[in-house]
Amino acid sequence: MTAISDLAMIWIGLVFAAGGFSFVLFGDNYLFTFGEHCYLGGFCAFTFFTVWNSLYATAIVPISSGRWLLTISLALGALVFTRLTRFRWAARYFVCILSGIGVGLILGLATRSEIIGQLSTTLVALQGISVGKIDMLSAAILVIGIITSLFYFTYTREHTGNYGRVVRVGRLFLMASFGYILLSDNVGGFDALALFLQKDWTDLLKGLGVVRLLLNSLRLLR
Amino acid sequence: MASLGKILEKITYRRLALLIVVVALIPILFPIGLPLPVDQTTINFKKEIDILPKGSVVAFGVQITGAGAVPDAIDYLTDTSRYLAERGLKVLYVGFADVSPSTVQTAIQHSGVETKYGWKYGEDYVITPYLPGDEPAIASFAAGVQTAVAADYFGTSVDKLPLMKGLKTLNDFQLAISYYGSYTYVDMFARQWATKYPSVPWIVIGILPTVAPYYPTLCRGVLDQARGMAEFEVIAGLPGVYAARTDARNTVGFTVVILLVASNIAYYKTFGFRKRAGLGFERAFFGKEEGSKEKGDGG
Amino acid sequence: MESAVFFGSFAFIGILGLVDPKNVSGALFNVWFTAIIIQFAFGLGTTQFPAQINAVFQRFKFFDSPETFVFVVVYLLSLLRFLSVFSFYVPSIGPVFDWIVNIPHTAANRAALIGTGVGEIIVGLRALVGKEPGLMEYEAK
Repeated sequence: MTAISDLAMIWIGLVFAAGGFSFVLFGDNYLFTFGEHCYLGGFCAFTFFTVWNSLYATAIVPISSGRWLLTISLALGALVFTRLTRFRWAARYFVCILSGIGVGLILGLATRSEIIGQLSTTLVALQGISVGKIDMLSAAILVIGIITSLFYFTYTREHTGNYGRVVRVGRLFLMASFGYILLSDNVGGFDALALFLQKDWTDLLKGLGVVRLLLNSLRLLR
Repeated sequence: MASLGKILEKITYRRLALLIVVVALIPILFPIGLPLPVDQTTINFKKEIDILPKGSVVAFGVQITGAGAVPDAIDYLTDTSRYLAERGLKVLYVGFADVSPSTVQTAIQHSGVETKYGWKYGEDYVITPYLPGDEPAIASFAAGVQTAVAADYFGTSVDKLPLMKGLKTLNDFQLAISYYGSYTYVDMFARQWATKYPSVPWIVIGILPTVAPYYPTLCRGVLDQARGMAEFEVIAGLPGVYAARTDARNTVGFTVVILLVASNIAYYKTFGFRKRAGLGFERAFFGKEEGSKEKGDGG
Repeated sequence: MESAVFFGSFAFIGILGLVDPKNVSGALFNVWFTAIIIQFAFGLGTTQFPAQINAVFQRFKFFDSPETFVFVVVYLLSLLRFLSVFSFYVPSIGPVFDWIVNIPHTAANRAALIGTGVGEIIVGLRALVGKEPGLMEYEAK
C-alpha cells in the first residue's frame, strides 16, 4: 500500500512539474493552465494557514501568557481591513506606523553600513597599497569607478558635455557589474534546471521501478 | 559564413530549450567527474563554522524567494544542517519567508541528522514560524529573540524549549548564517545583523555579486549558490549531490559560450563589422547624435 | 473552468491542512503540498534559464558600443570562471575574475549602495516631515 501511495505521489508530482516546464516547449497549454490554477488556489490556502500560524506564535501566545500590550499592536494591525469599509481613513494610522518604523530602522543604519561602511572599506582597501595587497592602478580604478558610478545616479543635472563623458565612464563600470550579476542570475536559473532534471529523472526511474515491481508481483500471482 | 548565419537562424527558442535540456541531462545520467577548484570564499565559510566550539548556538536566517526555490533550498539546508550537526553545534532556524519553516523541516528530515548525529528538537535545533515584515522582522529578532518568537513552528511555547533558554539578543549567538534568495535581503541582514552586532560573525549562503561589497569586512564567508555548495561538499566531505550538476554546468556553459561567439560572428559577417562596431564606438567617443539612423539600426 | 480548478485546489489544500492533526507541519499536508504546489512552481521556475540563454544568444553583441563590449566580455569571463573545467586547466582565469569582482564590480556596487543610502535618508527625512509626495498621495486615496 505504501509503495502504491509513494508511486501515486511521485507520478502526481511529475505531472505537475512537467506541466510547469511544458511552457518552455509548448507555450500556453491545458496542462500548464490546469497546474497554474491548482498552484494559485493551493498556495492561497497555504497562505491562510501561514498567516494564522504566524499570528498565533507572535501575538496570541504572548497575549495569553500576559503581554497585554500586544493587543494594541493587534488592533492597529487589524485597522488595515477598514480599507474595505467606509472607515478607510483609519487604515492610514497603521501605514504611518509601519512607515515610521521602517524609516527609523533604516535611517541610522543606512548611514553606518551603506555610506560610512562602504567609504571606510574603500579607504582600508587603499591602505593596502603600502603592504602590497593592492597595486596603485587597481586602487585608482576602484576610486574612479566609485566616483564616476556615483555621478551616474545624479538626476538633477543633464548628462551632457564633459559631465556626460564622466557619466559614460561610470556607465562602463555599471555594465561590468551587470554582466557579472546577470551571469550569477543565469547560473542560479541553470542550477534550478539541473536540479529539476536530476530530481525528476530520479523520481521517474523510481516511479517506473515501482511499476515494474507491481507488474512482476501480478505475474507471480497469475 | 552565410551558412553559419542560416544554421543559427534555424535555432528557435524551442529548439534552444531542447538543446539545453539534452546537453544538461547527459552528464546527469552519465557523470563525468570533472575537476572542481575550491574558491577562498567557500574555505572562509567553512572556517567560520570549524572554529566554533561544540555546543555553540547558531542563528540561521532563512529567506526563500518563493515556492519554486524550495527544492533548491532543501538541498542547501540539508547539506549545511548535516555539517552543523556533525560539528556538534546547535541551531535556531528563523523563517523570514512563508515557505521557510516547512522547507527547513523537510531539509532536517532529508539530512537524517536526528538518527545519525542524535539531534533532538528543542535541545539541538528549533524552527521558528514565519516572521513577517522583512527588515523589521530581522531587526526585532536580533533585538529580542524571546519577544519576537513566543512559540515555535509547531506551536510550542519557547519557555518549554531548552535551546531558547538564555537567548535574548543576537549577541547570545556564536555565529549568524543567512540564506537568502532575493537580492535586496542581503542588505537587510547586513544592516540589522552584521552592522548592529559586529561581535557575532556573519556568513552567507547566497549570491556572491550582491554580498561582494560586504566581503570580507562585514561578511566573513560566502557559499555562492550551487557552485559554492559543490565546493563545500568537497571540502566538508559531504555526499556529492551537487557534483553531477557541476558536470552539467560545464557542458551547458560551453554550449552557451559557443552559441554566443557563433552568433556574434554570424551577426557581424552579415551586417558588417566596421559599420556596426564603428557606429557604436563613434557615438560613444565622438558624440554622434543618438537620433541619426543607419541601415541595420535598432536590431 | 479555471475558477473551478482554483477553488477546487483551494478547498482541497485547505481541508488537508485542517484535517491533518499537525496542521501545515504534518506529513499528510506536506506530501500533497509538495506534489502539487512545490513541484509545479519548481517546473515553472526552470523556464527562466532557457529564456535567459535565448536572450544571450539573440541579443548579446560584442561591438555595438563600449558598454555592450564591457558587458559581454565580463559576462563571458565570469561564465568561463564558473566552468570548473576551464578554471582547472586555465588557472589564470581565477585572478582575472577576482580582479573583476574586487575592482569594477565592487566599485559599481559600492557607488550604488552609497547612492541608495543617501536616497533612503532623504526619503526617510522627507517622509518624517510630511513632504514625501508618493506616500501622501497613496494615503489620500
